[in-house]
Amino acid sequence: MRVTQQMLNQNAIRNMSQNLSRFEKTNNQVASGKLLHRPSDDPNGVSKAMNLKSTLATNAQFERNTGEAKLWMDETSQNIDSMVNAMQRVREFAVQGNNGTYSEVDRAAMDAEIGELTEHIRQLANAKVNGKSLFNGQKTNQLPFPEKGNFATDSTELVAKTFTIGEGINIQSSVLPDQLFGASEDATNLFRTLESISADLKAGTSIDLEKIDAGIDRLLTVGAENGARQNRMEAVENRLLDSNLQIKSMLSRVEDIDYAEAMIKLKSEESIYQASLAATSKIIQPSLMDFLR
Amino acid sequence: MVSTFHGLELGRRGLAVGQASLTTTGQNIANVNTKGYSRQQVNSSASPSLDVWTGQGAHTGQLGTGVTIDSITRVRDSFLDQQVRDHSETLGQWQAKQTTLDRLETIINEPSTSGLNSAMDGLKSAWQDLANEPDSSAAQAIVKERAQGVVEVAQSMNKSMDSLKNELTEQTQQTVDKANGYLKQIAQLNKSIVNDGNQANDLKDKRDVLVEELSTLMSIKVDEKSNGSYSISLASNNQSLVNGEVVSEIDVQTETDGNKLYGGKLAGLSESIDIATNYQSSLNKVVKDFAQANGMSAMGGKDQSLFIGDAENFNVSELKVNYEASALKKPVATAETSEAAQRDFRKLVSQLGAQSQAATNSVTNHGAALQATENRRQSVTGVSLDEEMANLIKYQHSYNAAARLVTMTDQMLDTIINRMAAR
Repeated sequence: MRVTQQMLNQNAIRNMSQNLSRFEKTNNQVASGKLLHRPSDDPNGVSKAMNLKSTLATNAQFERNTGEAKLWMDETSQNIDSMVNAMQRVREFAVQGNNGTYSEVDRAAMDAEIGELTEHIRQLANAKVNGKSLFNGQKTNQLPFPEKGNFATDSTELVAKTFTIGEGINIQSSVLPDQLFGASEDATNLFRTLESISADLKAGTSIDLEKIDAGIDRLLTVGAENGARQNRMEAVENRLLDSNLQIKSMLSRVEDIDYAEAMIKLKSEESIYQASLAATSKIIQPSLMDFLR
Repeated sequence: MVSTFHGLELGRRGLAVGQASLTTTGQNIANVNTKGYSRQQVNSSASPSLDVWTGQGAHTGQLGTGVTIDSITRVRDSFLDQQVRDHSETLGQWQAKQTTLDRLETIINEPSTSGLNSAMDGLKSAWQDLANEPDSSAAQAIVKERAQGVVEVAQSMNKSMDSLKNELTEQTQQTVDKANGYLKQIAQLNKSIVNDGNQANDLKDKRDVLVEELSTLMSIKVDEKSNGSYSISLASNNQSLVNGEVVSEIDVQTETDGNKLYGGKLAGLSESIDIATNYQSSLNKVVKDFAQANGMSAMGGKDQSLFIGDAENFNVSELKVNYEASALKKPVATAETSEAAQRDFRKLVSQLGAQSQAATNSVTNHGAALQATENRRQSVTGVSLDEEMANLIKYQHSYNAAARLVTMTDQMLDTIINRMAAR
């Protein structure tokens, strides 16, 4: 084949520019640390990376939700503990009141004390988290027992507050007043029990301790349920963290460069480019013209 | 008997051919880097001989009279020319498409943290925050702002696609004008070549350059007529474009012409417009599905929907966020349908990626094929400096030798004319 100067030129330019553009691409990857810059770099990989990023965003939200749910559950558990403590005190007074050895004045003092404890429990039931009502289901901007001495709540359409902590996983983060104290029209309602104790003390009749125990039991049961949910949520949270780690490493595998590999590639692209420059400078220069005198 | 001065004439002819050869070599060297130049060569042959009596038999002897220039021709292979034109056409078509797909990739802007996908993710999170605090006005405001983010990203993508389409339409008109310009110039050159006779080498080179430029724009068939003029027609339907001096100009294709009728860059541009239109409508579909999944009501509706848009004739550019909504409710089916819209968007991105990758590969492959053919043609038609330098020496020697012949004849004549008379 005849070889001409223009052929040499064109081929040299083409080779150099191809080598330079490969060099540039690898350089870009090393500089950014990313393998994928545009969809055509790896159409499947890009779609996968987008999917993983969406999942990460969703998970991040789930993590925030678990944090929030945790706060609500902790508050729930603490408030229930305080209620149980108050009820223990009520029980002590009831046992004392049943003794029959106390005077009217003593009973009145006990009644006053029980009145205070009842108010204490009402206030605990009206507890707030971040300004939101804790024990009033999803109607968080209303208090369950706003008025002193009025323990009738409207429990219709009251739904427990839940948080979404995973794909399709909702967790109840607080308990409803009916669950805690029994329905307000029930005879075993905690506040009704407290009222009847107060009435019994005033009248000097015997106090039904079983009713108190039933109320305490209910509080403890609901508290235990809440605790179990806390455990379940921690398990979900751990799983979430694990899956986050896995997704991040998958994403990294899809879109991050392997530095060792990339540096070696960069070095080799660089030397290929330099070789093409050197070869071109050798072949372009001399022709017969340079040797004729 | 031959003339006394025969030797002088023979030497002169040798000098003339030597000089013509040297000049042609010079022309080749001077044009070593001229685009489209094909090397020229002097074709010479021995000039008609004289009959002389030799006294041997009945036949006369043949006495040489030197050399004449038959022609100065360019070295060219029309088969390779056609191949170069074919490759140029395919390359031109793919290059136009590849550029468009490249632009679309930039417009889509994925994978990124500021693209449509992450804007959609952002809205999804905002809904969750709102679900956690249904009566928080801050959470309500965030949902609206995130929705506005989705609208802005989608609208800017849509707008860029609009301007891409406008540019492509303009470019099509410019390319058609350019092609018509080439056609006119080729017809002009046809005229000059016919007038100059068939060996207007440099004009022919110029014409071939134009024909090659034309072939990157459209798919053409070229026939060379006996008088040296080209007749060019459209490969797809044999429509005549140039016939001698007659030009039939082309026009921007309308949809009824069917795309790709012209081939080359013009077909690439027309396909590009289709591609951009398709991606734009896919984007519109994705955004519509997403908006509907997140609650969209008709224009003017001031209800609890997050978006306001026209579901029947949806257009991203008209999508709005319903800032009037006082207590936004998360639509029941959000999670699944909105995820489906995001999936469709990812599909769009990977489809675009695959298409762009294929176009880039095609450009590389056809570019390499064109280069290989170009090399083969260069091998026939190109100027090699080594060769020209060797020829220079060769012709210099033949010129010198012819001059020596003249000197020697002169010496002989000196003997006859001057010295014989002196005695």
